[in-house]
Amino acid sequence: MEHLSLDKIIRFISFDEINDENLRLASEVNLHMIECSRCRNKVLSIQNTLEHLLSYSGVKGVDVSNIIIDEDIRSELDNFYGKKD
Amino acid sequence: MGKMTRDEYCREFALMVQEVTCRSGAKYDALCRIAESFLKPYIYSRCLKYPSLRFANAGDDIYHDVLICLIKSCIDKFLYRNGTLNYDPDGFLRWIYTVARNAVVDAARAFASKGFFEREMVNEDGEPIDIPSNDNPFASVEINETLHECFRAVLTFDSSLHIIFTWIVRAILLIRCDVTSDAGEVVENKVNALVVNTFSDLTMSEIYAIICLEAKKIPWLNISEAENSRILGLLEEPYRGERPLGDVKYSEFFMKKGGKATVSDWVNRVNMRIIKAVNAGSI
Ligand SMILES: [Zn+2]
Repeated sequence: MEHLSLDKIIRFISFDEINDENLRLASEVNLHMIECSRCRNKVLSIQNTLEHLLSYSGVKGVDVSNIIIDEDIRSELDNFYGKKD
Repeated sequence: MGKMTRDEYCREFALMVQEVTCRSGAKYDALCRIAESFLKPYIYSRCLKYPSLRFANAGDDIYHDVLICLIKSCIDKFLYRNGTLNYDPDGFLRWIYTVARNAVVDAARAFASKGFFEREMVNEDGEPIDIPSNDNPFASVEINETLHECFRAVLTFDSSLHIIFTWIVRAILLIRCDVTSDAGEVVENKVNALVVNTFSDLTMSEIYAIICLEAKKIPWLNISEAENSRILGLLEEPYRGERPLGDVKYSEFFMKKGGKATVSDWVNRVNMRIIKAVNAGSI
């Protein structure tokens, strides 16, 4: 099995538009990752590190507590599961 | 679109799994319908709660980013994260809400830090400021232009790739992180520790992918076609006659004195070369 090239992985991780070309790329990379743990781990570790880097940037101490309370997600889910079909 | 009932959701989830794993070509239509039903209203309501995110299109932009993030990470971060199909509709719903939550937080922080790079680089009068580092090679010259020149020069240095990558990722961290307000020595220590913590477990090709991805966002970090091909070629060469260099973990290059001291040593080596190049007039 031929592994994903670094260039393809970079294009996959960096696309920021939903169009036919990018969806084809997503399909190819995602299907390969189902079969190949080596490429899956590679993509995953690059994605995780980028997220990590993102968390370093920005002004520290920006208070987001008034928009995000983790309880909110729980209550969204509770509402959904309590919802009658 | 109103929110789906649980039965509807379970049907959509089953369809989504079928679509995203279809060998003849994956599709993401059911995934998008699930996101629209659950995450769109959630994201819009969060945006309304935060004054900075009440500008036009904030909800649209964040929702769009979340959708792309789900398409890119549904396989490796959820459905096949352990190598076999994780058929867990409830877990999936929790996961997509978490993705949306994080996207809203990132957007709020990004908005608050708009102009962050510029603020780090100039003083109140708009004059460039120095990065407070004792052996900082940019100390006496206009910073952006110099950074651009330095990156271009460093990429062509004939030092080992792990040393060049170290200098580049450290510079990225230094600029990304809010450590420049600390005193020089503290900055050195903090940022070297960050390099070690962030990159130790990554392979050389993963680090290069991150450099390329960061380069797309940083105007003064350009990688020419020629440099890119040269580096990709080097990453494919066998390291110590075994695996390709690209598959070697960064931490395998650390010297006995430990990651932080090694990073400091490598960075100094590159800085010395930059200073030489500046003195010789080639930067
Ligand atoms: Zn592979």
